[in-house]
Amino acid sequence: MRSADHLVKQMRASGVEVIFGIPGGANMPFYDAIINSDITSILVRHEQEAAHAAEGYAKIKGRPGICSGTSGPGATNLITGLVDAAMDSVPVVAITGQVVRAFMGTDAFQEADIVGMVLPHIKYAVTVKDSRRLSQEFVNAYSIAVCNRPGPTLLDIPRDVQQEEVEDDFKPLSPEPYFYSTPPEPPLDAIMESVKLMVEAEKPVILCGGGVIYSGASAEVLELAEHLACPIVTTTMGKSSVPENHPLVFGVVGMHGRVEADLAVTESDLIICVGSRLSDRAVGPAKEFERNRKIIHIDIDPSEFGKNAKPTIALPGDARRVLRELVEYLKHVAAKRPESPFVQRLREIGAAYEEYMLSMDDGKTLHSWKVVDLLSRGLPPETIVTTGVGQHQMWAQLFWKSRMAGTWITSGGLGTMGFGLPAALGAKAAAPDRPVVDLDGDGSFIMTCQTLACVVDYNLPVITVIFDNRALGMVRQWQDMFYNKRYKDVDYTDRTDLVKLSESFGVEAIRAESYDELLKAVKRALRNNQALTVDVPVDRGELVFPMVPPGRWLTDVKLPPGFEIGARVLSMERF
Amino acid sequence: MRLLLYVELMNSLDAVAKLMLTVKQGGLSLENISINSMDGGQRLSATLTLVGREEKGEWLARKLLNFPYFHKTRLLKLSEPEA
Ligand SMILES: Cc1cc2nc3c(=O)[nH]c(=O)nc-3n(C[C@H](O)[C@H](O)[C@H](O)COP(=O)(O)OP(=O)(O)OC[C@H]3O[C@@H](n4cnc5c(N)ncnc54)[C@H](O)[C@@H]3O)c2cc1C
Ligand SMILES: Cc1ncc(C[n+]2csc(CCOP(=O)(O)OP(=O)(O)O)c2C)c(N)n1
Repeated sequence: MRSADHLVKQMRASGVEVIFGIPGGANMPFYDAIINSDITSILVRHEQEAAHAAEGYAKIKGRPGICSGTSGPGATNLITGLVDAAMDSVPVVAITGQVVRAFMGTDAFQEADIVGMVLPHIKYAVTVKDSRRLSQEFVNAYSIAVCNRPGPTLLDIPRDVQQEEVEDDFKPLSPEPYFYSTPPEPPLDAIMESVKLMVEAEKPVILCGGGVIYSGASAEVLELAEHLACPIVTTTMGKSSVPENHPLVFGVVGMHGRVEADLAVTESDLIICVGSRLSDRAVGPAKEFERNRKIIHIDIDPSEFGKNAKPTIALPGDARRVLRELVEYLKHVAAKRPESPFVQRLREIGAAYEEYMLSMDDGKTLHSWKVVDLLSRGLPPETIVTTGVGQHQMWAQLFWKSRMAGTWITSGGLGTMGFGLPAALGAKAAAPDRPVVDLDGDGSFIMTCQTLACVVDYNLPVITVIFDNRALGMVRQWQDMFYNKRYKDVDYTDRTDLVKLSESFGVEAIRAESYDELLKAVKRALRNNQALTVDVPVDRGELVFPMVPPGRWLTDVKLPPGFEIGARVLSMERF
Repeated sequence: MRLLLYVELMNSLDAVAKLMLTVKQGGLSLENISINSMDGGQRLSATLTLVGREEKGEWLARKLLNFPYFHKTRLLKLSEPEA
């Protein structure tokens, strides 16, 4: 049996159903072996898409997504997606072809040291030179990708290794030591100390990060919040960890956070951070975040404690497990709290912001935030949303209300334009029966738009809504606010017709002239299970607010012109 | 502050490279390194003298354990921060 066949058999036994990639000289034996299996391979049009699709797939399935490329350019094209996966802790396994062993180190045709290139950003990467180790190395890479803090791994396989004969003694393998470990556990006294802080706190707030989704800890977060009657806010990556229509959930915090969410953080005297790496975009300068409040930090990766902000108490472990312990102990020592005026006030401020934004109408142009709001109200709760990167992403984070866990997929850490559409393809491959909508920017869309070819080829009908401002809107906004409106290379002056472009791939497309038309078209496409691209012309002058200028504390937030919360905030000081 | 980091790692050049890259990510500078094989060549042990912030040293010792290349880390403080 060829070692490539052994590998593919092992992959199937590990649960692999789908691979995203492109074949080439060095991974041909691997592709040849896939023919004999029931693994589906999705032929993407650029390897970057394969990596993002694998991320989208992994996010929905909760197990690693697989992508593949040939040696040299095939492998290097995967890198952006792998670094993206590392930044957002997404389990992805990349399988790359490599030149034959005898040619390695000779600058052979399409030779590139892909392991060396990804090493800074990968959990594990290896060039497998012994064919008898190939399946074992896969099992190791697959296991460690999802073990504790998830992340990407890479197997680089010389072509001759794939072709070599190995014993036909197939039996499913288990990961070797160090490729599997149980999560850390918090010391009991730290749990007790944390509960004491919770009981003493007047304004506790829970901050949910991406780890809550990986851990499946939504119910535990809600139970804790309901007992403490405290607000829950999320990071961008933690969005959809808790239902955003729950009365204690106040949306995303941070640079482009909801006004009421940022206020919850700045007003808090205790913040319980669950599965978050407390990035500058989420919590602003650490010194301010640490000032005047206690911090309980729960994370599966102990290296996160104190990396950005110094916790009062660190609780290492899986979020769900740690929260279970906290809730159990808390219920023993303290009664459920009644709703606080603090929470009521946050709710009022949120409602005021929403009302202000949604009442804007010049009768001419469509407003991005209103489009997001319309879709959020009109689409079913199981809808999976992906995004590109930019202003549209921020409008989506502000106005899309996630109702089911894990339904929000975005590129947070690396902020990779072009992520949305291939991630949507991967999510659709993982959940063909659920609506998948990519809320994209025209700049982001154009970077990976050829993914539409796969949407058609594999009948994976995703809906792409393009917020078409003919600009690199987010960069334009920074030039507007921080570079005296000196716009440089942010406006598109071409006439690319995104409707025709989409149609040329075989995907129906419309240019939306009204909110009503837009929603009707999207609903029709969902009913008919058809792919659709909607080009939504929006004003290039739109600025996303709230915005906290970089490096500033959340209280320095810039609100939409004309929206005043000064009086409201002042009156909060009573609580 | 000077820090002494002891690491047991897989016997592979990738593991050594990853070690140095993670030191770099921590913003620490390297004063001295010694790497020896152990367990009959199955594994390596590395002893690094590093200079930098204590928290960064702690971060490094913990961070490495996220990666299967590294099996054990121990951090020792060698001198107090300068006044
Ligand atoms: C244009 C743009 C604007 C942005 N603006 C904002 C903003 O306004 N607000 C914002 O929040 N972000 C913003 N971001 C995203 C930001 O860059 C970070 O990606 C984000 O804040 C990280 O969120 P996180 O810490 O929850 O997530 P992740 O990076 O997903 O970290 C997850 C954490 O959970 C831990 N973990 C994993 N599994 C478990 C488990 N089972 N149990 C416990 N812990 C676990 C991990 O160790 C890690 O520490 C923006 C990004 C872009 C591109
Ligand atoms: C691959 C990549 N290149 C450049 C950037 C820098 N960048 C951040 S947002 C942005 C503009 C995005 O434009 P678009 O997708 O049209 O979204 P908009 O902001 O207009 O909504 C750019 C260029 C990036 N994040 N990713």
